[in-house]
Amino acid sequence: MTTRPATGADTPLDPIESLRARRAEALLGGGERRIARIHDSGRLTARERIDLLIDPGSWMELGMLAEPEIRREDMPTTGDAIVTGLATIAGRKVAILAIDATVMAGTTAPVNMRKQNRVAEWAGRKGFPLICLSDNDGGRVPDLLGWRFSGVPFDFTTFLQSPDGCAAIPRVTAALGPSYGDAALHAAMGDLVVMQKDTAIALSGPPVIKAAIGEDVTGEELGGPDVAAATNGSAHLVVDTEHDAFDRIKRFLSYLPDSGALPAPTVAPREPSTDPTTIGDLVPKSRRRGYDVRRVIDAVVDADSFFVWGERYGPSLVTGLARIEGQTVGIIASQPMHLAGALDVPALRKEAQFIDLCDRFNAPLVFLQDVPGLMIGTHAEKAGILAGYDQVVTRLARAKVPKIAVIMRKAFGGGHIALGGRPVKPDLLVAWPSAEMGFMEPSTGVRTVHRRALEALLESEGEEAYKAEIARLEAEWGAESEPWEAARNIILDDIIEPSETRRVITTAIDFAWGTGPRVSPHGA
Amino acid sequence: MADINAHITGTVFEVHVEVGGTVSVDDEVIILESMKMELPVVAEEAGTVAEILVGPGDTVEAGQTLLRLT
Repeated sequence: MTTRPATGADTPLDPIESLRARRAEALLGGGERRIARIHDSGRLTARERIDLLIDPGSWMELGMLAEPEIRREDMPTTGDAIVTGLATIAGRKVAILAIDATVMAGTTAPVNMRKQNRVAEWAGRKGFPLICLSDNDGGRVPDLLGWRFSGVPFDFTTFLQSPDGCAAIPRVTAALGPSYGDAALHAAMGDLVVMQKDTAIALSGPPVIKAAIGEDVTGEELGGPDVAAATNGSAHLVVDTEHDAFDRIKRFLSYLPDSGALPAPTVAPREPSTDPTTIGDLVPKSRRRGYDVRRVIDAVVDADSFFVWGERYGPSLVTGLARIEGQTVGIIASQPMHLAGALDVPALRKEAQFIDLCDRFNAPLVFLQDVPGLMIGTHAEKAGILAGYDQVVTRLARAKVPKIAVIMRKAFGGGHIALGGRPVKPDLLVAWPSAEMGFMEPSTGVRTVHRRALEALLESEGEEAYKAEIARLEAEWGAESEPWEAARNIILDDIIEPSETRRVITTAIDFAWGTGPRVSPHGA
Repeated sequence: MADINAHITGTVFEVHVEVGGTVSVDDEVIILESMKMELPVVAEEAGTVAEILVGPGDTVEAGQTLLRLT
Protein backbone atom coordinates (compact mmCIF):
# COMPACT_ATOMS: atom_id res chain seq x y z
CA MET A 1 0.00 0.00 0.00
CA THR A 2 1.01 3.55 -0.65
CA THR A 3 1.95 5.56 2.38
CA ARG A 4 -0.03 8.76 2.42
CA PRO A 5 2.02 11.71 3.65
CA ALA A 6 1.00 13.46 6.81
CA THR A 7 -0.34 16.80 5.69
CA GLY A 8 -2.55 17.97 8.57
CA ALA A 9 -1.90 20.93 10.82
CA ASP A 10 -0.64 18.64 13.59
CA THR A 11 2.32 17.53 11.52
CA PRO A 12 5.29 19.83 11.88
CA LEU A 13 6.69 18.98 8.43
CA ASP A 14 8.76 21.61 6.75
CA PRO A 15 6.81 22.96 3.70
CA ILE A 16 9.57 21.92 1.33
CA GLU A 17 9.58 18.46 2.90
CA SER A 18 5.82 18.36 2.53
CA LEU A 19 6.07 19.21 -1.17
CA ARG A 20 8.67 16.52 -1.67
CA ALA A 21 6.52 13.95 0.10
CA ARG A 22 3.51 14.88 -2.02
CA ARG A 23 5.52 14.66 -5.22
CA ALA A 24 6.94 11.29 -4.24
CA GLU A 25 3.45 10.03 -3.62
CA ALA A 26 2.24 11.35 -6.97
CA LEU A 27 5.05 9.60 -8.79
CA LEU A 28 3.93 6.29 -7.26
CA GLY A 29 0.48 6.63 -8.84
CA GLY A 30 -1.79 3.93 -7.49
CA GLY A 31 1.07 2.19 -5.72
CA GLU A 32 3.17 -0.86 -6.38
CA ARG A 33 0.38 -3.42 -6.17
CA ARG A 34 -1.75 -1.67 -8.78
CA ILE A 35 1.29 -1.02 -10.98
CA ALA A 36 2.06 -4.76 -10.85
CA ARG A 37 -1.50 -5.52 -11.86
CA ILE A 38 -1.18 -3.24 -14.91
CA HIS A 39 2.11 -4.91 -15.84
CA ASP A 40 0.53 -8.34 -15.43
CA SER A 41 -2.12 -7.35 -17.96
CA GLY A 42 0.65 -6.59 -20.45
CA ARG A 43 0.26 -2.82 -20.17
CA LEU A 44 2.59 -0.04 -19.09
CA THR A 45 1.80 2.72 -16.60
CA ALA A 46 1.10 6.28 -17.69
CA ARG A 47 4.53 7.45 -16.54
CA GLU A 48 6.32 4.57 -18.26
CA ARG A 49 4.49 5.41 -21.47
CA ILE A 50 5.48 9.05 -21.28
CA ASP A 51 9.12 8.11 -20.68
CA LEU A 52 9.12 5.95 -23.82
CA LEU A 53 7.58 8.70 -25.92
CA ILE A 54 9.49 11.85 -25.02
CA ASP A 55 13.06 13.11 -25.14
CA PRO A 56 14.83 12.15 -21.89
CA GLY A 57 14.80 14.94 -19.34
CA SER A 58 12.27 17.05 -21.25
CA TRP A 59 9.24 16.45 -19.00
CA MET A 60 7.51 19.37 -17.31
CA GLU A 61 4.52 18.13 -15.36
CA LEU A 62 1.39 20.21 -14.78
CA GLY A 63 -1.23 19.33 -12.18
CA MET A 64 0.83 16.75 -10.34
CA LEU A 65 -0.77 17.60 -6.99
CA ALA A 66 -4.35 17.23 -8.18
CA GLU A 67 -6.86 15.28 -6.05
CA PRO A 68 -10.51 14.50 -6.85
CA GLU A 69 -13.30 16.76 -5.63
CA ILE A 70 -14.76 13.76 -3.78
CA ARG A 71 -11.87 12.57 -1.62
CA ARG A 72 -11.29 8.90 -0.74
CA GLU A 73 -9.60 7.57 2.34
CA ASP A 74 -9.48 3.96 1.22
CA MET A 75 -7.60 4.21 -2.05
CA PRO A 76 -4.89 6.28 -3.75
CA THR A 77 -6.23 9.26 -5.66
CA THR A 78 -2.99 10.93 -6.70
CA GLY A 79 -3.17 13.24 -9.69
CA ASP A 80 -6.87 12.36 -10.03
CA ALA A 81 -6.03 9.47 -12.34
CA ILE A 82 -4.28 11.41 -15.07
CA VAL A 83 -0.75 12.62 -15.76
CA THR A 84 -0.47 15.81 -17.80
CA GLY A 85 2.44 17.93 -18.92
CA LEU A 86 4.70 19.36 -21.58
CA ALA A 87 7.74 17.75 -23.20
CA THR A 88 9.69 17.49 -26.41
CA ILE A 89 9.80 14.70 -28.98
CA ALA A 90 12.75 14.85 -31.39
CA GLY A 91 13.36 18.33 -30.01
CA ARG A 92 9.84 19.57 -30.83
CA LYS A 93 7.34 20.73 -28.22
CA VAL A 94 4.28 18.59 -27.41
CA ALA A 95 1.59 18.47 -24.74
CA ILE A 96 0.69 15.09 -23.29
CA LEU A 97 -2.19 13.71 -21.28
CA ALA A 98 -1.81 10.15 -20.10
CA ILE A 99 -4.61 8.40 -18.27
CA ASP A 100 -3.29 6.69 -15.14
CA ALA A 101 -5.11 3.37 -14.89
CA THR A 102 -3.39 2.62 -11.55
CA VAL A 103 -5.45 5.35 -9.89
CA MET A 104 -9.20 4.68 -9.62
CA ALA A 105 -8.99 2.65 -12.87
CA GLY A 106 -8.16 5.84 -14.77
CA THR A 107 -11.73 7.05 -14.52
CA THR A 108 -12.70 10.60 -15.45
CA ALA A 109 -14.02 13.15 -12.96
CA PRO A 110 -14.07 16.96 -12.72
CA VAL A 111 -10.52 17.70 -11.51
CA ASN A 112 -9.15 15.18 -13.99
CA MET A 113 -11.04 17.01 -16.74
CA ARG A 114 -9.60 20.34 -15.60
CA LYS A 115 -6.15 18.88 -16.00
CA GLN A 116 -7.00 17.68 -19.50
CA ASN A 117 -8.37 21.08 -20.42
CA ARG A 118 -5.33 22.86 -19.08
CA VAL A 119 -2.87 20.89 -21.13
CA ALA A 120 -5.07 20.95 -24.25
CA GLU A 121 -5.33 24.70 -23.95
CA TRP A 122 -1.56 24.98 -23.69
CA ALA A 123 -1.21 23.02 -26.91
CA GLY A 124 -3.96 24.89 -28.75
CA ARG A 125 -2.96 28.41 -27.68
CA LYS A 126 0.77 27.94 -28.07
CA GLY A 127 0.63 25.86 -31.24
CA PHE A 128 2.09 22.40 -30.68
CA PRO A 129 0.73 18.83 -30.88
CA LEU A 130 -1.50 17.28 -28.23
CA ILE A 131 -0.98 13.60 -27.50
CA CYS A 132 -3.54 11.58 -25.55
CA LEU A 133 -2.54 8.19 -24.13
CA SER A 134 -5.89 6.58 -23.40
CA ASP A 135 -6.63 3.70 -21.05
CA ASN A 136 -9.80 3.94 -19.02
CA ASP A 137 -13.25 2.70 -18.25
CA GLY A 138 -15.11 6.00 -18.66
CA GLY A 139 -16.64 8.34 -16.13
CA ARG A 140 -16.29 7.89 -12.35
CA VAL A 141 -19.15 7.44 -9.92
CA PRO A 142 -20.32 9.04 -7.75
CA ASP A 143 -18.18 11.96 -8.93
CA LEU A 144 -20.27 12.45 -12.07
CA LEU A 145 -23.73 11.51 -10.78
CA GLY A 146 -26.79 13.74 -10.96
CA TRP A 147 -26.24 17.48 -11.36
CA ARG A 148 -22.50 16.93 -11.39
CA PHE A 149 -22.53 15.49 -14.91
CA SER A 150 -23.99 18.64 -16.40
CA GLY A 151 -21.36 20.58 -14.52
CA VAL A 152 -18.38 18.76 -16.02
CA PRO A 153 -15.63 21.30 -16.64
CA PHE A 154 -14.79 20.22 -20.17
CA ASP A 155 -14.57 23.17 -22.53
CA PHE A 156 -15.16 21.99 -26.07
CA THR A 157 -14.11 25.34 -27.56
CA THR A 158 -10.56 24.57 -26.47
CA PHE A 159 -10.40 20.86 -25.65
CA LEU A 160 -11.56 19.29 -28.90
CA GLN A 161 -10.28 22.06 -31.15
CA SER A 162 -7.93 25.01 -31.09
CA PRO A 163 -9.36 28.17 -29.47
CA ASP A 164 -10.79 30.79 -31.83
CA GLY A 165 -8.02 32.60 -33.63
CA CYS A 166 -5.41 29.91 -32.91
CA ALA A 167 -3.88 27.57 -35.48
CA ALA A 168 -4.92 23.93 -35.80
CA ILE A 169 -2.62 21.53 -33.95
CA PRO A 170 -1.95 17.86 -34.66
CA ARG A 171 -3.99 15.74 -32.24
CA VAL A 172 -2.82 12.19 -31.70
CA THR A 173 -4.48 9.53 -29.61
CA ALA A 174 -3.11 6.15 -28.68
CA ALA A 175 -5.66 3.68 -27.29
CA LEU A 176 -3.43 1.54 -25.07
CA GLY A 177 -6.11 0.01 -22.86
CA PRO A 178 -9.90 -0.14 -22.97
CA SER A 179 -11.03 3.30 -24.13
CA TYR A 180 -14.63 3.94 -23.20
CA GLY A 181 -16.49 7.17 -22.49
CA ASP A 182 -14.15 10.14 -22.32
CA ALA A 183 -11.21 8.09 -23.56
CA ALA A 184 -13.24 7.36 -26.69
CA LEU A 185 -13.74 11.10 -27.02
CA HIS A 186 -9.97 11.45 -27.32
CA ALA A 187 -10.09 9.05 -30.24
CA ALA A 188 -12.88 11.01 -31.89
CA MET A 189 -10.70 14.12 -32.04
CA GLY A 190 -7.54 12.42 -33.28
CA ASP A 191 -5.77 13.28 -36.52
CA LEU A 192 -4.04 9.99 -35.86
CA VAL A 193 -5.63 7.31 -33.70
CA VAL A 194 -3.43 4.31 -33.14
CA MET A 195 -4.76 1.36 -31.15
CA GLN A 196 -2.95 -1.55 -29.56
CA LYS A 197 -4.58 -4.68 -30.97
CA ASP A 198 -6.04 -5.99 -27.69
CA THR A 199 -7.85 -2.76 -26.81
CA ALA A 200 -11.27 -1.43 -27.69
CA ILE A 201 -12.65 2.03 -28.48
CA ALA A 202 -16.35 2.57 -27.81
CA LEU A 203 -18.73 5.14 -26.37
CA SER A 204 -19.76 2.77 -23.55
CA GLY A 205 -18.18 -0.40 -22.20
CA PRO A 206 -19.79 -3.87 -21.99
CA PRO A 207 -21.16 -3.61 -18.39
CA VAL A 208 -23.03 -0.38 -19.18
CA ILE A 209 -24.42 -1.86 -22.38
CA LYS A 210 -25.60 -4.98 -20.60
CA ALA A 211 -27.38 -2.91 -17.98
CA ALA A 212 -28.87 -0.38 -20.39
CA ILE A 213 -30.00 -2.40 -23.39
CA GLY A 214 -29.43 -6.00 -22.34
CA GLU A 215 -26.86 -6.72 -25.04
CA ASP A 216 -24.17 -9.24 -24.11
CA VAL A 217 -21.05 -8.11 -25.89
CA THR A 218 -17.30 -8.28 -25.38
CA GLY A 219 -15.00 -5.29 -25.66
CA GLU A 220 -13.50 -6.79 -28.78
CA GLU A 221 -16.89 -7.22 -30.47
CA LEU A 222 -17.85 -3.72 -29.45
CA GLY A 223 -14.80 -1.69 -30.38
CA GLY A 224 -11.86 -3.97 -31.11
CA PRO A 225 -9.76 -3.50 -34.26
CA ASP A 226 -12.34 -5.22 -36.52
CA VAL A 227 -14.84 -2.54 -35.52
CA ALA A 228 -12.74 0.53 -34.75
CA ALA A 229 -10.22 0.17 -37.57
CA ALA A 230 -12.16 -1.75 -40.22
CA THR A 231 -15.86 -0.90 -39.75
CA ASN A 232 -16.28 2.61 -38.38
CA GLY A 233 -12.80 4.03 -38.98
CA SER A 234 -12.27 5.39 -35.45
CA ALA A 235 -8.72 4.04 -35.45
CA HIS A 236 -6.29 4.68 -38.29
CA LEU A 237 -3.64 2.18 -37.27
CA VAL A 238 -3.55 -1.06 -35.28
CA VAL A 239 -0.26 -2.11 -33.69
CA ASP A 240 0.91 -5.17 -31.79
CA THR A 241 2.64 -3.45 -28.88
CA GLU A 242 2.68 -0.15 -27.01
CA HIS A 243 6.24 0.39 -28.22
CA ASP A 244 4.98 0.16 -31.80
CA ALA A 245 2.36 2.76 -30.96
CA PHE A 246 5.00 5.23 -29.75
CA ASP A 247 7.11 4.62 -32.86
CA ARG A 248 4.13 5.39 -35.08
CA ILE A 249 3.24 8.53 -33.15
CA LYS A 250 6.79 9.88 -33.51
CA ARG A 251 6.81 9.02 -37.19
CA PHE A 252 3.41 10.61 -37.85
CA LEU A 253 4.49 13.84 -36.15
CA SER A 254 7.65 13.93 -38.27
CA TYR A 255 5.54 14.71 -41.36
CA LEU A 256 3.56 17.52 -39.79
CA PRO A 257 4.31 21.06 -38.68
CA ASP A 258 3.91 21.94 -34.98
CA SER A 259 0.75 23.78 -36.00
CA GLY A 260 -1.16 24.64 -39.15
CA ALA A 261 0.44 28.11 -39.12
CA LEU A 262 3.80 26.65 -40.12
CA PRO A 263 5.00 24.87 -43.26
CA ALA A 264 5.40 21.10 -42.98
CA PRO A 265 8.97 20.08 -42.10
CA THR A 266 11.30 18.91 -44.85
CA VAL A 267 14.02 16.26 -44.71
CA ALA A 268 16.79 15.17 -47.07
CA PRO A 269 15.32 13.89 -50.36
CA ARG A 270 15.62 10.21 -51.25
CA GLU A 271 15.14 8.38 -54.49
CA PRO A 272 12.05 6.12 -54.55
CA SER A 273 12.58 2.47 -53.63
CA THR A 274 11.16 1.53 -57.04
CA ASP A 275 12.64 3.18 -60.14
CA PRO A 276 10.07 5.89 -61.00
CA THR A 277 10.61 5.39 -64.72
CA THR A 278 9.22 1.84 -64.42
CA ILE A 279 5.88 2.97 -62.98
CA GLY A 280 4.05 2.27 -66.25
CA ASP A 281 4.87 -1.44 -65.93
CA LEU A 282 3.18 -1.63 -62.53
CA VAL A 283 -0.30 -0.84 -63.88
CA PRO A 284 -1.67 -3.64 -66.10
CA LYS A 285 -2.91 -2.65 -69.53
CA SER A 286 -6.05 -4.79 -69.25
CA ARG A 287 -8.75 -2.71 -67.56
CA ARG A 288 -10.03 -5.83 -65.82
CA ARG A 289 -6.73 -6.71 -64.18
CA GLY A 290 -6.25 -5.67 -60.57
CA TYR A 291 -2.94 -4.72 -58.96
CA ASP A 292 -1.66 -3.39 -55.66
CA VAL A 293 -1.42 0.39 -55.95
CA ARG A 294 1.00 0.53 -53.02
CA ARG A 295 3.69 -0.65 -55.44
CA VAL A 296 2.84 2.26 -57.70
CA ILE A 297 3.10 4.63 -54.73
CA ASP A 298 6.58 3.23 -54.06
CA ALA A 299 7.62 4.45 -57.50
CA VAL A 300 6.37 7.99 -56.78
CA VAL A 301 7.45 8.80 -53.22
CA ASP A 302 10.83 8.92 -51.49
CA ALA A 303 12.04 5.48 -50.34
CA ASP A 304 10.51 4.27 -47.05
CA SER A 305 8.51 7.46 -46.65
CA PHE A 306 4.96 6.13 -47.04
CA PHE A 307 2.93 6.19 -43.81
CA VAL A 308 -0.41 4.54 -44.45
CA TRP A 309 -3.36 6.20 -42.68
CA GLY A 310 -6.63 4.28 -42.27
CA GLU A 311 -5.50 1.11 -44.01
CA ARG A 312 -8.41 -1.13 -43.03
CA TYR A 313 -11.24 1.39 -43.39
CA GLY A 314 -12.49 1.99 -46.93
CA PRO A 315 -9.64 -0.08 -48.44
CA SER A 316 -10.63 0.67 -52.05
CA LEU A 317 -8.77 3.94 -51.47
CA VAL A 318 -5.24 4.12 -50.07
CA THR A 319 -4.48 7.26 -48.08
CA GLY A 320 -1.22 8.12 -46.40
CA LEU A 321 1.45 10.69 -45.71
CA ALA A 322 4.71 10.47 -47.62
CA ARG A 323 7.57 12.62 -48.88
CA ILE A 324 8.48 13.61 -52.40
CA GLU A 325 11.94 15.18 -52.69
CA GLY A 326 11.97 15.44 -48.91
CA GLN A 327 8.70 17.37 -48.67
CA THR A 328 5.54 16.09 -46.99
CA VAL A 329 2.65 15.12 -49.27
CA GLY A 330 -0.68 13.38 -48.78
CA ILE A 331 -1.18 10.47 -51.20
CA ILE A 332 -4.73 9.50 -52.21
CA ALA A 333 -4.72 6.50 -54.55
CA SER A 334 -7.34 4.12 -55.95
CA GLN A 335 -6.77 0.53 -54.82
CA PRO A 336 -8.12 -1.79 -57.56
CA MET A 337 -7.54 -4.81 -55.30
CA HIS A 338 -10.68 -3.82 -53.36
CA LEU A 339 -14.07 -3.18 -54.98
CA ALA A 340 -12.13 -2.64 -58.22
CA GLY A 341 -11.21 0.74 -56.72
CA ALA A 342 -14.82 1.98 -56.55
CA LEU A 343 -15.42 4.57 -53.84
CA ASP A 344 -17.90 3.40 -51.21
CA VAL A 345 -19.04 5.33 -48.14
CA PRO A 346 -16.12 4.31 -45.90
CA ALA A 347 -13.62 5.23 -48.62
CA LEU A 348 -15.27 8.63 -49.09
CA ARG A 349 -15.46 9.33 -45.35
CA LYS A 350 -11.81 8.43 -44.99
CA GLU A 351 -10.90 10.61 -47.94
CA ALA A 352 -12.76 13.63 -46.57
CA GLN A 353 -10.99 13.32 -43.22
CA PHE A 354 -7.62 12.85 -44.86
CA ILE A 355 -8.08 15.86 -47.15
CA ASP A 356 -8.96 17.92 -44.09
CA LEU A 357 -5.84 16.67 -42.28
CA CYS A 358 -3.60 17.55 -45.23
CA ASP A 359 -5.19 20.94 -45.82
CA ARG A 360 -4.84 21.94 -42.15
CA PHE A 361 -1.21 20.82 -41.94
CA ASN A 362 0.08 22.00 -45.30
CA ALA A 363 0.61 18.68 -47.04
CA PRO A 364 0.01 18.91 -50.83
CA LEU A 365 -2.51 16.38 -52.13
CA VAL A 366 -1.41 13.91 -54.79
CA PHE A 367 -4.13 11.80 -56.42
CA LEU A 368 -3.43 8.60 -58.35
CA GLN A 369 -6.66 7.72 -60.14
CA ASP A 370 -7.84 4.35 -61.35
CA VAL A 371 -11.47 4.54 -60.36
CA PRO A 372 -14.48 2.86 -61.99
CA GLY A 373 -16.86 5.21 -60.16
CA LEU A 374 -18.75 5.71 -56.95
CA MET A 375 -20.29 2.58 -55.43
CA ILE A 376 -23.95 2.27 -56.42
CA GLY A 377 -26.81 0.03 -55.32
CA THR A 378 -29.07 -0.27 -52.30
CA HIS A 379 -26.28 -0.88 -49.81
CA ALA A 380 -24.42 2.25 -50.90
CA GLU A 381 -27.60 4.34 -50.84
CA LYS A 382 -28.57 3.16 -47.36
CA ALA A 383 -25.08 3.94 -46.13
CA GLY A 384 -25.36 7.50 -47.50
CA ILE A 385 -23.22 7.56 -50.63
CA LEU A 386 -24.63 10.95 -51.67
CA ALA A 387 -23.68 12.65 -48.42
CA GLY A 388 -20.29 10.93 -48.52
CA TYR A 389 -19.62 12.26 -52.01
CA ASP A 390 -20.87 15.74 -51.16
CA GLN A 391 -18.61 15.86 -48.11
CA VAL A 392 -15.51 15.01 -50.17
CA VAL A 393 -16.06 17.28 -53.14
CA THR A 394 -17.06 20.36 -51.14
CA ARG A 395 -14.06 20.02 -48.82
CA LEU A 396 -11.67 19.20 -51.64
CA ALA A 397 -12.85 22.08 -53.79
CA ARG A 398 -11.97 24.50 -50.98
CA ALA A 399 -8.65 22.89 -50.01
CA LYS A 400 -5.84 25.41 -50.49
CA VAL A 401 -2.81 23.14 -50.48
CA PRO A 402 -1.46 22.14 -53.93
CA LYS A 403 -3.71 19.55 -55.56
CA ILE A 404 -2.16 17.37 -58.25
CA ALA A 405 -4.15 14.59 -59.93
CA VAL A 406 -2.81 11.89 -62.24
CA ILE A 407 -5.18 9.57 -64.14
CA MET A 408 -3.39 6.27 -64.62
CA ARG A 409 -6.17 4.13 -66.01
CA LYS A 410 -9.89 4.52 -65.26
CA ALA A 411 -11.49 7.84 -64.39
CA PHE A 412 -15.25 7.42 -64.38
CA GLY A 413 -18.19 9.31 -62.95
CA GLY A 414 -18.24 10.84 -59.49
CA GLY A 415 -15.23 8.76 -58.54
CA HIS A 416 -13.13 10.75 -60.98
CA ILE A 417 -14.39 14.06 -59.59
CA ALA A 418 -13.82 12.97 -55.98
CA LEU A 419 -10.18 12.17 -56.76
CA GLY A 420 -9.20 15.55 -58.19
CA GLY A 421 -11.39 15.95 -61.28
CA ARG A 422 -11.77 19.44 -62.74
CA PRO A 423 -14.77 20.62 -60.62
CA VAL A 424 -12.77 20.32 -57.37
CA LYS A 425 -10.17 22.72 -58.76
CA PRO A 426 -6.96 20.71 -59.01
CA ASP A 427 -3.89 22.81 -59.74
CA LEU A 428 -2.82 20.18 -62.24
CA LEU A 429 -4.83 17.37 -63.83
CA VAL A 430 -2.88 15.08 -66.14
CA ALA A 431 -3.38 11.61 -67.58
CA TRP A 432 -1.32 8.77 -68.87
CA PRO A 433 -2.02 7.91 -72.53
CA SER A 434 -3.72 4.70 -71.30
CA ALA A 435 -6.35 6.68 -69.37
CA GLU A 436 -10.06 6.09 -69.92
CA MET A 437 -12.43 8.88 -68.98
CA GLY A 438 -16.17 9.22 -68.92
CA PHE A 439 -19.26 9.56 -66.83
CA MET A 440 -19.81 5.79 -66.73
CA GLU A 441 -17.79 2.68 -67.47
CA PRO A 442 -18.40 1.68 -71.14
CA SER A 443 -19.81 -1.76 -70.27
CA THR A 444 -22.43 -0.21 -68.00
CA GLY A 445 -22.92 2.87 -70.17
CA VAL A 446 -23.89 1.17 -73.42
CA ARG A 447 -26.37 -1.08 -71.62
CA THR A 448 -27.96 1.94 -69.98
CA VAL A 449 -28.07 4.38 -72.89
CA HIS A 450 -29.02 1.81 -75.55
CA ARG A 451 -31.18 -0.36 -73.33
CA ARG A 452 -34.37 -0.26 -75.46
CA ALA A 453 -32.59 -0.72 -78.79
CA LEU A 454 -30.56 -3.60 -77.38
CA GLU A 455 -33.62 -5.32 -75.93
CA ALA A 456 -35.39 -4.98 -79.29
CA LEU A 457 -32.38 -6.43 -81.05
CA LEU A 458 -32.24 -9.36 -78.63
CA GLU A 459 -35.89 -10.12 -79.35
CA SER A 460 -35.75 -9.71 -83.14
CA GLU A 461 -32.31 -11.12 -84.01
CA GLY A 462 -31.24 -13.22 -81.04
CA GLU A 463 -28.41 -13.35 -78.52
CA GLU A 464 -25.50 -13.39 -80.96
CA ALA A 465 -26.52 -10.16 -82.66
CA TYR A 466 -27.20 -8.62 -79.24
CA LYS A 467 -23.70 -9.45 -77.99
CA ALA A 468 -22.08 -8.24 -81.23
CA GLU A 469 -23.88 -4.93 -80.96
CA ILE A 470 -22.79 -4.51 -77.34
CA ALA A 471 -19.18 -5.19 -78.35
CA ARG A 472 -19.44 -2.62 -81.17
CA LEU A 473 -20.95 0.00 -78.88
CA GLU A 474 -18.36 -0.67 -76.16
CA ALA A 475 -15.55 -0.16 -78.67
CA GLU A 476 -17.20 3.10 -79.78
CA TRP A 477 -17.48 4.27 -76.16
CA GLY A 478 -13.92 3.17 -75.53
CA ALA A 479 -12.67 5.46 -78.30
CA GLU A 480 -14.68 8.33 -76.80
CA SER A 481 -13.07 7.56 -73.43
CA GLU A 482 -9.50 8.05 -74.61
CA PRO A 483 -7.81 11.07 -73.05
CA TRP A 484 -6.89 12.92 -76.25
CA GLU A 485 -10.14 14.83 -76.63
CA ALA A 486 -9.95 15.88 -72.96
CA ALA A 487 -6.48 17.28 -73.61
CA ARG A 488 -7.67 19.09 -76.75
CA ASN A 489 -10.39 20.76 -74.70
CA ILE A 490 -8.03 21.66 -71.83
CA ILE A 491 -9.96 19.46 -69.41
CA LEU A 492 -6.60 17.76 -68.95
CA ASP A 493 -3.61 20.07 -68.55
CA ASP A 494 -1.46 17.51 -70.30
CA ILE A 495 -0.96 13.86 -71.14
CA ILE A 496 2.29 12.53 -69.75
CA GLU A 497 4.36 9.41 -70.13
CA PRO A 498 4.08 7.26 -67.00
CA SER A 499 7.85 7.50 -66.50
CA GLU A 500 7.49 11.30 -66.07
CA THR A 501 4.98 10.99 -63.22
CA ARG A 502 7.24 11.71 -60.23
CA ARG A 503 9.01 14.57 -61.97
CA VAL A 504 5.74 16.20 -63.07
CA ILE A 505 4.23 15.89 -59.57
CA THR A 506 7.35 17.37 -57.96
CA THR A 507 7.47 20.36 -60.31
CA ALA A 508 3.73 20.97 -60.14
CA ILE A 509 3.72 21.02 -56.33
CA ASP A 510 6.52 23.57 -56.35
CA PHE A 511 4.69 25.93 -58.71
CA ALA A 512 1.31 25.31 -57.06
CA TRP A 513 2.59 26.65 -53.74
CA GLY A 514 3.22 29.94 -55.55
CA THR A 515 5.61 32.42 -54.01
CA GLY A 516 4.12 32.89 -50.54
CA PRO A 517 4.58 30.85 -47.37
CA ARG A 518 3.70 27.17 -47.87
CA VAL A 519 0.73 27.37 -45.55
CA SER A 520 -2.99 26.82 -46.21
CA PRO A 521 -5.32 29.30 -44.48
CA HIS A 522 -7.45 26.40 -43.24
CA GLY A 523 -5.05 25.36 -40.49
CA ALA A 524 -3.37 28.68 -39.83
CA MET B 1 5.80 -24.28 -45.06
CA ALA B 2 3.66 -21.32 -45.95
CA ASP B 3 0.07 -21.07 -47.04
CA ILE B 4 -1.07 -18.62 -49.67
CA ASN B 5 -4.63 -17.53 -48.96
CA ALA B 6 -7.31 -15.72 -50.92
CA HIS B 7 -7.51 -12.03 -49.91
CA ILE B 8 -11.03 -11.68 -51.28
CA THR B 9 -14.06 -13.84 -52.02
CA GLY B 10 -14.42 -14.74 -55.71
CA THR B 11 -13.73 -17.43 -58.28
CA VAL B 12 -10.40 -18.79 -59.44
CA PHE B 13 -9.66 -17.36 -62.89
CA GLU B 14 -6.16 -18.66 -63.59
CA VAL B 15 -3.51 -20.72 -61.78
CA HIS B 16 0.01 -19.63 -62.76
CA VAL B 17 2.03 -22.29 -60.93
CA GLU B 18 2.49 -26.07 -60.91
CA VAL B 19 3.26 -28.46 -58.08
CA GLY B 20 7.04 -28.62 -57.72
CA GLY B 21 7.52 -25.23 -59.36
CA THR B 22 9.42 -22.47 -57.57
CA VAL B 23 7.89 -19.19 -56.52
CA SER B 24 9.66 -15.90 -55.79
CA VAL B 25 8.44 -13.07 -53.60
CA ASP B 26 5.87 -10.90 -55.44
CA ASP B 27 5.10 -13.56 -58.07
CA GLU B 28 1.45 -13.61 -59.14
CA VAL B 29 0.57 -17.22 -58.37
CA ILE B 30 -3.18 -17.24 -58.87
CA ILE B 31 -5.62 -14.79 -60.42
CA LEU B 32 -9.03 -14.53 -58.75
CA GLU B 33 -12.06 -12.96 -60.35
CA SER B 34 -14.24 -10.76 -58.19
CA MET B 35 -16.21 -7.57 -58.78
CA LYS B 36 -15.67 -8.09 -62.53
CA MET B 37 -11.95 -7.66 -61.88
CA GLU B 38 -9.06 -10.07 -62.20
CA LEU B 39 -7.19 -9.78 -58.93
CA PRO B 40 -3.73 -11.30 -58.58
CA VAL B 41 -2.77 -13.26 -55.49
CA VAL B 42 0.87 -12.54 -54.80
CA ALA B 43 3.44 -14.73 -53.01
CA GLU B 44 4.70 -13.00 -49.89
CA GLU B 45 7.60 -15.40 -49.49
CA ALA B 46 9.62 -17.61 -51.79
CA GLY B 47 9.30 -21.40 -51.90
CA THR B 48 8.39 -24.49 -53.85
CA VAL B 49 4.76 -25.28 -54.58
CA ALA B 50 3.84 -28.33 -52.48
CA GLU B 51 0.12 -28.43 -53.09
CA ILE B 52 -2.48 -26.55 -55.13
CA LEU B 53 -5.89 -26.71 -53.48
CA VAL B 54 -8.05 -24.97 -56.08
CA GLY B 55 -8.58 -24.92 -59.82
CA PRO B 56 -10.06 -22.52 -62.39
CA GLY B 57 -13.75 -21.91 -61.80
CA ASP B 58 -13.68 -22.81 -58.10
CA THR B 59 -15.42 -20.43 -55.74
CA VAL B 60 -13.20 -19.35 -52.86
CA GLU B 61 -13.83 -17.43 -49.65
CA ALA B 62 -11.60 -14.66 -48.36
CA GLY B 63 -8.97 -16.29 -46.15
CA GLN B 64 -9.28 -19.71 -47.81
CA THR B 65 -5.96 -21.45 -48.49
CA LEU B 66 -5.24 -21.64 -52.24
CA LEU B 67 -1.87 -23.31 -52.26
CA ARG B 68 0.93 -24.43 -49.99
CA LEU B 69 4.64 -23.70 -50.33
CA THR B 70 7.57 -25.57 -48.80
